[in-house]
Amino acid sequence: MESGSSTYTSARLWRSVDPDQLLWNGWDDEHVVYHRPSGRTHFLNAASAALVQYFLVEPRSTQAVAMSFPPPDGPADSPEHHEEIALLLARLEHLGMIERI
Amino acid sequence: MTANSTGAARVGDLSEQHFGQRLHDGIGVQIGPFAARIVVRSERIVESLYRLYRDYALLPDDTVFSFHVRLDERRGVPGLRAPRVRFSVDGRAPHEDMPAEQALAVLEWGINLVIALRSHAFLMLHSAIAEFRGHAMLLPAAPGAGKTTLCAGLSLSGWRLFSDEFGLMRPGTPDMLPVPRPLALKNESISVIRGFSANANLGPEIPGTRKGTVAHLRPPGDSILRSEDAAPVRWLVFPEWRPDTPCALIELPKQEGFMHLATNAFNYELLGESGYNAVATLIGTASCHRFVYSDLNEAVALLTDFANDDT
Repeated sequence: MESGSSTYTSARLWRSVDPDQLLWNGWDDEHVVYHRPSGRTHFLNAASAALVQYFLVEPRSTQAVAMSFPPPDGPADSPEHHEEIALLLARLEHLGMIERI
Repeated sequence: MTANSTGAARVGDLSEQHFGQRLHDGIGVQIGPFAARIVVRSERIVESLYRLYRDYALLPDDTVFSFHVRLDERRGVPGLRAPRVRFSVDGRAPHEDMPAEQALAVLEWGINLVIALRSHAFLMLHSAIAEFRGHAMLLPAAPGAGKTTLCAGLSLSGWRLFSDEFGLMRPGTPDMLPVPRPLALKNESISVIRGFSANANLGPEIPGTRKGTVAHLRPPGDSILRSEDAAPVRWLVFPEWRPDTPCALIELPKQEGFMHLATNAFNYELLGESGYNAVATLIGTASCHRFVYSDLNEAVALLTDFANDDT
């Protein structure tokens, strides 16, 4: 896996995987997702679920995602925040829920 | 042998002597959704099996059986080797021979093992289940959490026993299937259940097993007679016996309930998508709770009041 900083500074775009690959169920803003290709079940909080379900239906860059999900107590364009977002995206990619294009 | 009012001949319709002969040659009994053929060649447990299996329906020899199990006693050598029993399923022994005085426990654990390893047509949860007014309460827990004791207490208090061990759900349906079996009580639970109800009919105490002293509680006859009556799950209750702790039923977030339930299943990952859908159906329709208890009387009273108020 690339480091967070190199990931977010690159110009690559991210998008959700084919919706047919995922089965969703959600209760109380928490989500349980079945990933058909791997047969694994993942537990997502509301923000991660929203990222996969809505924001990455269209391809977006790491930077665009970072700006759409500002931190509660700091600027959205800080390197630390971008690195957090890059790590989250890499994690979701590892789980097979998003892909880079 | 005569058929009783439900139409099926039962073990109790045989004399104990005839039952012993049938066990020696092979006897078919219906255990929940499973047709079991059991051969026992150990005289020492015939009487206990006769008492424990009294209400199970007999099956004809030409039944297509779900599994064939067998228990053979092997003579010992005086001063050198104690008598042993060998459990086998379809001709294969899944584990080493065990002391003959543990024969009943070995047979019962063996049948549970076969169910756990082979019943992949079902989502199979490691869970006790009891039914109240047509609604099932699922009690999933790891060994030692007190689910068998709690389930025994409920089944001796008017609840219908489904199982103290297996939550069987056929994927694609919302219902749980009963598989009532003798309840294997362990150690302190034996005296707890003896003290809990004068109606508790227990088999002999078997000391020195890998789980300590074990005694089997006979399942209520009504639970066996109605073992074809499935029921939907209304409550998911994760029990934990904790000494000197007052009873408490605490609502659990559904996502957490999903995680606990999936990790408690024998075959969640094996079933793949149908297992996910089955657990999602359960979580979607049932309320989820954590339950801590130490006193069985309080625990049964609280769960009964809760179920009473919620139906």
